[in-house]
Amino acid sequence: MNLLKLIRKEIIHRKVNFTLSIIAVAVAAASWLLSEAFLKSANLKSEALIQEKVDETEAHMKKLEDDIRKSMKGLGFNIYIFPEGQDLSEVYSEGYASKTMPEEYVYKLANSNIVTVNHLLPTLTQSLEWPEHKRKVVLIGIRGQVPKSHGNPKKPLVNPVAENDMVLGYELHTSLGLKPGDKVKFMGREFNVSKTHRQRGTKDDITVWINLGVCQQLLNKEKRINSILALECNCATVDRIGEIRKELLAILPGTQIIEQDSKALARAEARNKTKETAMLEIDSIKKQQNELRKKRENMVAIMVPFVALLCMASIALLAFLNVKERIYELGLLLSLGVKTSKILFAYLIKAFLSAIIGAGIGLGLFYLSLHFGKESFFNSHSACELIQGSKIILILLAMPILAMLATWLPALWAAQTDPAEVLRHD
Amino acid sequence: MTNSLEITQASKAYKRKNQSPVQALNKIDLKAQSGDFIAVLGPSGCGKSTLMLSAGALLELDSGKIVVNGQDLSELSNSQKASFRANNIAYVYQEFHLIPYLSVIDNVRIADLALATGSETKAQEILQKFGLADRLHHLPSELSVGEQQRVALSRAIYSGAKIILADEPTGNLDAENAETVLKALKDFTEQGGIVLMVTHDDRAVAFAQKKLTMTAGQWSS
Repeated sequence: MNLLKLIRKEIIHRKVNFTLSIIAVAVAAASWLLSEAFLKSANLKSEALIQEKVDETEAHMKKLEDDIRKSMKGLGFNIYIFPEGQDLSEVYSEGYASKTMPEEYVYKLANSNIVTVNHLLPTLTQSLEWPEHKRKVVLIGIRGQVPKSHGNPKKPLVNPVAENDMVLGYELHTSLGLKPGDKVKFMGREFNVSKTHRQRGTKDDITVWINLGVCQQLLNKEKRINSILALECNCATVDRIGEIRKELLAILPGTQIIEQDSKALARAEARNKTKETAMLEIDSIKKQQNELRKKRENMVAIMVPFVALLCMASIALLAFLNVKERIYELGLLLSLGVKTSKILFAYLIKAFLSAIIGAGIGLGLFYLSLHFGKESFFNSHSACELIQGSKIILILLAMPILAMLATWLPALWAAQTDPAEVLRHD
Repeated sequence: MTNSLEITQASKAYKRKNQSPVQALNKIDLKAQSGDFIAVLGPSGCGKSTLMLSAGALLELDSGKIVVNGQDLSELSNSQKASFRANNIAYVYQEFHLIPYLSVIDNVRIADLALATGSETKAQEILQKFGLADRLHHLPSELSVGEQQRVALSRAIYSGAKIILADEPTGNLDAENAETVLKALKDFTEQGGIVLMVTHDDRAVAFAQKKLTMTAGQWSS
């Protein structure tokens, strides 16, 4: 007769108690593994979702950029060239530059090899009072387009105003009752109204267009202009301003270049906006997924220890019940001279055995759940993806240790049974 | 080897909460040696069980001394007492205290957990002597009351004890079984052992060569 034989026979005799211990451990082990697997599966899914969205956005943005590039290649856009040292905030507030530059700049550009700009429109603009009619107007002197000497000739976009002609904006011609063919005096000089514009709802409605040379004379700014409008600029790259600036500054150093609102710009802005929105959406999804991930992790962080504690409590209770049931047997063994360490050892070994078997069964339950619930609960992920081997080893080691810890107090109680007390009251 | 049991001025009181202590043993003296079969009689609660438990190194005295085979029990640690008990003292209880899930032979050999030596053959011989040769692999629940007590007695003898402390060993037995047990105890003493038996049974008293009566923790005769 030895201790292991006693343990074996006792387990067989009290198989319900032993089985319940195994079940407690199996449930704890399976719960632990399943929680980890659920978490990993959910995290993998959200990562895949985010990656899918990122890939989708990148593909979409790439296509959008290609589209923009193609459309911009055909469409072109407009830029303003202002004099060196011009305060652009003045341009934005007044609508024209206060500084001037030589008119020859436009000819310099036209005669250069520049390829990024096409139609060149020099202008001289100033806000002043129409002395004869005592009203504020915007006076623009235009020559018409200066053709480029190199590259393919382009059909002109803007016609010039003849020397003694005047074009009037809607507000001016309607309020003054002027129509094409009428004669009118402006700053002492007589002009022929050659054209009147329809209402535009902009400063154009109070604008007077005259010949550039005549304007320069009237304003005492001979051979000076305060802006060059370059229409339908083409650029192969998306950073068109950069490319143009580079080319222009090489020819007209110090000048300032801004882009006028254009369809291409709007489209590019729309693309940027779309990209921004898509990135915000991705960030929002990432944030959402991270929050969900944190919640899941918090839940698992609470659930796993809770289940482990529950398991340990069950094992401890079962061990206590076992000791209570065997109190006279323990008293007998101690009265026979069996050492207390042997009693302690017997309980701990039993706990170890139940835990090893329970952990094995728990592992089996986990794999079964994974097998049958792979599609429904685990997003078709495999066991290898969801659980590392080290985790399984950890559980196989942890369960027996936890079980022995849980059994420690009951085992101690058993070992410290006073046989005299037990047998005296029998 | 000559065996001896010497109890000198043994006193033991059980403390009770909010009540005065109960004096179970009050300066008891007892001397026994090889071949002694002593019956201890007395009313319930007089201290007989306390005497048995103290003599078997299961209970510590408040004062006095118990020397078994020259060993003062108070000099031993708990672990040493356990070893000493395993090699020198055996109990036979009124309720038998067999382990329900062990067979007859395993119940006898349970003492192997405490002993360094033991053998299947020795156990079988003892059981054969008690007429249990054909019940070796039966469980206690499959035995009669008499058979169970004989198993308990076999366990005591198998352990090689020099002193058997029997607490009402025939309390649950019929005349025939009681006689078998008492004869076995008698044989034990004739082979040099000591038997200290608590009993109310006149049949048991008849087997003992010394009768002591206890009242309120003291000998009254």
